[in-house]
Amino acid sequence: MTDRSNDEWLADLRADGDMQAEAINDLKHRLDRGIYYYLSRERSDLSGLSETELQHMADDMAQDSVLRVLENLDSFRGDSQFTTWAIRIAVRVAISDLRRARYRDFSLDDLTADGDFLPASANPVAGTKPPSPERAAEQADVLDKIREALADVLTERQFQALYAVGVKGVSIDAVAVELGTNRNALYKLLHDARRKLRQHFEDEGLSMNYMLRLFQE
Amino acid sequence: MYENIVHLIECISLVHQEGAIDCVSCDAQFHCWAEQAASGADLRAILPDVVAHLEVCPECREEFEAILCILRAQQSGLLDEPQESS
Ligand SMILES: [Zn+2]
Repeated sequence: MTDRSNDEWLADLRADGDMQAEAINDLKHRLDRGIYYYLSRERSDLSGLSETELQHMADDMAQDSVLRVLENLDSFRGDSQFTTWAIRIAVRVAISDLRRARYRDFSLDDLTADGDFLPASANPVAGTKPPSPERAAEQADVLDKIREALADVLTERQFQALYAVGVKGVSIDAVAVELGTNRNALYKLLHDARRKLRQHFEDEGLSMNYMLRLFQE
Repeated sequence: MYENIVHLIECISLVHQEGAIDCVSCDAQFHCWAEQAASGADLRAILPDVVAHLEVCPECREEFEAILCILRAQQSGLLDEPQESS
């Protein structure tokens, strides 16, 4: 594989014929190796896949990444190695694919259909040591306040997003697709929801640390 | 039994400062920052806003760590062509 300067990469990828084909091939190969390394070394969630399956996955991702790089060549500003910039694009392609696959069947309706996710009362589960009556009363009181806050302070959309991301641990990308928005807008929505809730609890004299301690074993 | 509530409270606690950097600005700069980090720069010292965002945004963190992991593998020669021996 030829080592190219940034300018050479740009010129070769914009060239015609063999010159371009060779550059595309080199880039694809490089991204493929990087993605395969990441998938095989860093993704414990993929450890059930065979080497061949991972290689296929990396090939497909590298192929898509090269197309994405070519579409965006004009936006490369020369502020890093060209290949680092291409790796950034490839990582985005790869991770978005993995997230889509993981949450393929995810729907916000399913998440919230299981009804009230907060326990109805502070009754201890069988086998656990019951909290003292004072503590149980305190927990029940704060639970009510949390329930009220979720209903009063947040919009429906904010609640759905906060519940999916914060409680269920669903990826922001998957929730964004489900809400018909993008990651950045969702991030802002979550930020507003958290800030409003936090302010509300603080106004009620409930600090985050106090509430965490109250509900942790 | 209070797992959901604990998750919720932890999530609310993750608010960071107003005006902090967002996901899109992060994504647009990751290649520069990853190169700096891979060459040993202390991001916490030079880019505290970015580090603050990575701490509260698991999505950006996952992507940044992936870029960094590939760059480091590349630096260590782990992505070089295997010797053709067959
Ligand atoms: Zn982010």
